Amino acid sequence: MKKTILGILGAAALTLSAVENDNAALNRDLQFRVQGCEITAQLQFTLANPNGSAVLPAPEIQDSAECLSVDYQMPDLSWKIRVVPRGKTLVAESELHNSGRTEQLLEPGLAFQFRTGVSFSGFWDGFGKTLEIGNVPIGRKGIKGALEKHVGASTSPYPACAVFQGDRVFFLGTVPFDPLSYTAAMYNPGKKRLESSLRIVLSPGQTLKIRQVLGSITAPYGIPEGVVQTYYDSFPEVYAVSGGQDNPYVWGTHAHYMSWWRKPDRELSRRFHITLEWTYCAYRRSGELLCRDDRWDYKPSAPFRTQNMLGGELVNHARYSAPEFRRLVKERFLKYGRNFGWMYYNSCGGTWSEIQLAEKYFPDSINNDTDGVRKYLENWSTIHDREVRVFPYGTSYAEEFERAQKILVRELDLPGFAFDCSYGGAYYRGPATGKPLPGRAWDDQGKFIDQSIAINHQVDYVRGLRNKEGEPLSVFFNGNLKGDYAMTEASYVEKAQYKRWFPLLRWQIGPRPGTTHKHGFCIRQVQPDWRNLTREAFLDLVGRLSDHMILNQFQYGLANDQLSMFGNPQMIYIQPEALELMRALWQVELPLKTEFDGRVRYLSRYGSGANTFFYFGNSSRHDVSGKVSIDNSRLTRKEESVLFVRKMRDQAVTENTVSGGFTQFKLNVPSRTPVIYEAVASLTMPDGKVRVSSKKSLDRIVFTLEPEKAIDSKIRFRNIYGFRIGSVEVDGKPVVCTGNSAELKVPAGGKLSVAYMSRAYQLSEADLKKFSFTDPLGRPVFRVQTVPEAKNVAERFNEYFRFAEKYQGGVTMKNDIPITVSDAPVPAAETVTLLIGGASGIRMADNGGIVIAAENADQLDRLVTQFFYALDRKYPVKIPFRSVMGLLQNMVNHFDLSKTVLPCRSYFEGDGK
Amino acid sequence: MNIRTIPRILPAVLLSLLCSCASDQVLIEPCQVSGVPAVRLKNDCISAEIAPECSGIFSELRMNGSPAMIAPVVYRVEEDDLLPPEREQNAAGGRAALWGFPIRPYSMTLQRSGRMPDGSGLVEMACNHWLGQPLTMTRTIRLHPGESRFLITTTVKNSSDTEQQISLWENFSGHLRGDNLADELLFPVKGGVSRIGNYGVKYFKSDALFRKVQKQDKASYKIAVREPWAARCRAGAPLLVLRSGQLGNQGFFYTWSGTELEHTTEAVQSPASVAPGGIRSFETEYLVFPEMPDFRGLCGDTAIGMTVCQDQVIFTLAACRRMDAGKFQADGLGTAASGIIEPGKTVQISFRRPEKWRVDLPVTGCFQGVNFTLLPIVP
Repeated sequence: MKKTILGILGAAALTLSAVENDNAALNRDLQFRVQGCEITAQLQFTLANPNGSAVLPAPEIQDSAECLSVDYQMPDLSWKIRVVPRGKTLVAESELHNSGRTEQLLEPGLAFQFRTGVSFSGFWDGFGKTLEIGNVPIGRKGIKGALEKHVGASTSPYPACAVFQGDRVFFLGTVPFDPLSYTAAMYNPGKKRLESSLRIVLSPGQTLKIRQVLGSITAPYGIPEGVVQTYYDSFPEVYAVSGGQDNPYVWGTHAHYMSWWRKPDRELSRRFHITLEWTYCAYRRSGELLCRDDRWDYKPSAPFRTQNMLGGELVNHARYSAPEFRRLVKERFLKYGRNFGWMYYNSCGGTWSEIQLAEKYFPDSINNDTDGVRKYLENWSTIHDREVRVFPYGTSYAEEFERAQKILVRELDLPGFAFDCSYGGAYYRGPATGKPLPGRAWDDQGKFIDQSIAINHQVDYVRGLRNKEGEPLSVFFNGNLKGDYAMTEASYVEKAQYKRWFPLLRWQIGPRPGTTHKHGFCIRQVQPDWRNLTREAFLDLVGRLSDHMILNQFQYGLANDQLSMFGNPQMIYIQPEALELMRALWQVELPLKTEFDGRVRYLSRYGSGANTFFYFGNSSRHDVSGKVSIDNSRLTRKEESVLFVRKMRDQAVTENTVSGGFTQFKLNVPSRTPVIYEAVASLTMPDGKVRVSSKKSLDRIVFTLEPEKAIDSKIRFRNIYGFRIGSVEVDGKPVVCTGNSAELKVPAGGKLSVAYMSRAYQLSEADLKKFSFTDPLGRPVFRVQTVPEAKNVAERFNEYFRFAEKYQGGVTMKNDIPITVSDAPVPAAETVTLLIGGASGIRMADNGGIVIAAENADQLDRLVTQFFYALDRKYPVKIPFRSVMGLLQNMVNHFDLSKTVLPCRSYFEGDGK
Repeated sequence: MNIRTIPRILPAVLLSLLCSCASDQVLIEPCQVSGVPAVRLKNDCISAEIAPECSGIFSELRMNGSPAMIAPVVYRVEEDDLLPPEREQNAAGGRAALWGFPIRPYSMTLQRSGRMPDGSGLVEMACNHWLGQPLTMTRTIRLHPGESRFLITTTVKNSSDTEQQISLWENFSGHLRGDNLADELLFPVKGGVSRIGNYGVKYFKSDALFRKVQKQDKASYKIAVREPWAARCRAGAPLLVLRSGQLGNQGFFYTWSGTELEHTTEAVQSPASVAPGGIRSFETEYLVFPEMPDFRGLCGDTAIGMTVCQDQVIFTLAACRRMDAGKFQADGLGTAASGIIEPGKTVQISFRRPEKWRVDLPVTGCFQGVNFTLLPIVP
């Protein structure tokens, strides 16, 4: 289908700026100027269609304090554009309206037209690497990337394109996850023109909103990285997690079937920091989540595999009627679902259905695309029967699927859904493309909608549902689309996969939390001849693999899971820090220079400004030392400097030197040890030295800054999840702090300290030590009393101490810890009292007992979890190896590992020197 | 991280054996495959290279001194501070694998190589704990003088004290050089079969010669074969056939299309239990014939092509070993004498096409006392 350019708005005389952001401005003549950059560009709006007929008329342009408006009026079409600033980008927010009687296939675009003398060396099309610019036009059309064979879909580009010379970058694009099935990017070196366009279909009377992005930045720390970071900073809402920081499911590790194939174990899950599970799968026919009576029995197209694990039990579907099976599923989900974060596996977001079901009930929904993607799968989503790709958006199947999810949320009290195969790249061309839906596009074969539109639509649908407490649901997704907790389906030891997927997939996941998901150590793959190893060599191998996985977890902010935790206390040890960093949100740009000369291969950054963390990892056998210079201009929007201290559990001191916009410090990166530096504050200060120290305890964190030169600045302190600022003092005198910032003066050689108080712990470690949980022989000598609603939570104390007994935690249990239940228990000595209502927190009672109180049972349960983490230092356990995927029973037997635990280095303790 | 350069030192054991090889019949020479020490096995007609360290890969197949016919093997080892060296090997060449286990590069050691008393050349390799299993795998590749075929025996011994369930797999990614998408695969399929063991197989109503062209069909299939062979051909290229011995009642052929240009022909033997200390073998052959128009089937060691014209049916015969002059009979068409067929050469036999002779039915016949059936091509 030949594309014809309908019109281009040309350049005109330069007038005053009409709309501007931090670093660039667009004037009424659509001339785009960048602060400190000689290159200017003429912004052009373009419109094309498959046939071509008219030229874009002259637009009406208006400007106001907030935006620049550009309106095109055509006989059957209006295109109204508002250009508004967003961070370091400008966003063209458009409305296109078809006032005619016929459908219109359109390709609106944006272009930067540069002057003749301008040249660029490279082009980025949105995929994983930049391309050299030659003499011929370079670009991409559409969003299909490389085939992802396992998921039957394809990679897709990040929704931006750029040209660059040195570190100066001009970029165009769209907003991540906006419903677009086709985008194109092109640079024509002859015409000096960067183009970005998208395709839409407009039905008669339809109005469609689209967003296009433009901007220019310097990117001295990587071109795509700079652009993607600009997107993260400018559109944080697209990567925001449902329920935010208080979401109880998405800031931990993944059970990886431990809570689904086996009977869920609260204490083991807590020790492994597990917060959610992938429940593959709780239905019989793929695409029929409800297990309806009238669709339960059928003749499968392939011999039927009837067994599946469900909540710790091998379930044979053939022995169940539909009502019996539904009862079983309901009973399991109500018992375990919310406690263990069971994300209901929903047949790949509704993109695969058992073939006969789809053909009989949802023929309009079948997706026939076979261009580089699969139409059929064998025994996958269900393990039961063959499946065909379906399209859950605007189709009969979408209605059924949404209805089913809504019912399941209500019936099973779900915490969320697990979306497998969250990728696009399969084009639906069925009847729903005739409906006036957003997300339609066109090509040589006609109208289509990409699968990504449908999956993102289903994610939005799920996020719109509420549980019975009115809380939003979470989406655990495997891929590159919308959702709250990401999965990359490979273990970090599978380097080839990561080389293929990253960095593009990591950019697309963005600052969201997530996990790896494969066979842990993957011993069979990485060491096929493991039987040739001695026991000592095998344990050395597992230790090395573990360190590799740990260094990578900090590098990518995606957690390892329980498969690498049995027998390996180091993997458990690092989780508090690793998960805290994940919660601080992974960032793509690394604005630092080091003296390491490539010897520290692992570097990453989380957060920005006063909430920044930097991680350094050295996989070599030798320690590496050197100076690090952090570019503050990339971390703060104002001319502020960020001060850091080595992140340790107890205390640390770091000498910062602020010079020429950089914060510098020396560090040592020991072999196979993650080293983290945490920001303490961001402020305006003269060049000079600042000594930063930390002191941490259960209920309190104190950071102290001792500047060499006087400071007179607004200072921003860090937000620490679970803590609030209790006091700020300069040389011992209190200073008023508003929110997390304060205006203050610190004299040269003075001392500024900020103290954070725990929201949960209102008792100190010393208080905790006073309470005797066990006698010298390790026998529990306390009792628990609770309100009736928390009886189940109280049982966790028995689980805790029985677990500690089982795994050499220094406990001997003869009898259960006594638990008494009453409506209004009175705190008492030698007693842990669980209360609902009143002041929330963990505190000492006057009589020496411990009180744990919360607003409701769920919150109380979470407080008890936190309380147990404090107890873990007193009762450290040794969880030995056991058979898991990636380290199988024959290996455990061969090397006699069933009582073995690898050594663990407490490298986040001490003073960090 | 760095890419390790493979040592280019040929093991002494190989050198000592090579010195004794004569040049007039089968030769065994040292060589390298993707930087790894390898062995070249050649006669006057064909040659191939075998790299024990690189999964015992069979590659660099040549006929009559031609350039290598199949896509080259690419193998590299990446070293990491913490991980074992990571071996990467592309899907090219032929190797043994175990069905049900991921194909990962493994290393074999050369056990012996040299000329056997019967004049054939032999390369034998072995590997302990093959693919991480308690199995010792031995693979021998044999070439006879004057033949254009390699005879391969893969033997597995259960070295554990428990019974092992195994299914041997001849994994052959022999895409012909050039425009790989033009490769045409041919499988003699058994009709009416939709399932073998635990697997669904591509269904055909009746027996046929299934033709799969990568350009048109990028799917992967399991195939129930009527005769245990799969052929690969392309205009301007020799004909390459993988033939297996007994597949067993749950064995099948397989073709996989990868994300790049891979388009494989593979044979998977029926799963079987092997007792502690027990062995299991799988015989396969790589047969090489000159380019053959309209290849339709095998008759023993002879490839038969059939071209149907308006008034003639022309049979082209090629053999992977010398065939004496003999009688060629095609049912319904007639009988004719064939001359001697030398490997690398073709012979043509023509018959007048009878009026009612149908091209869409199987053609049966007999050549030198061996019956054959040429199946109609689908799709």
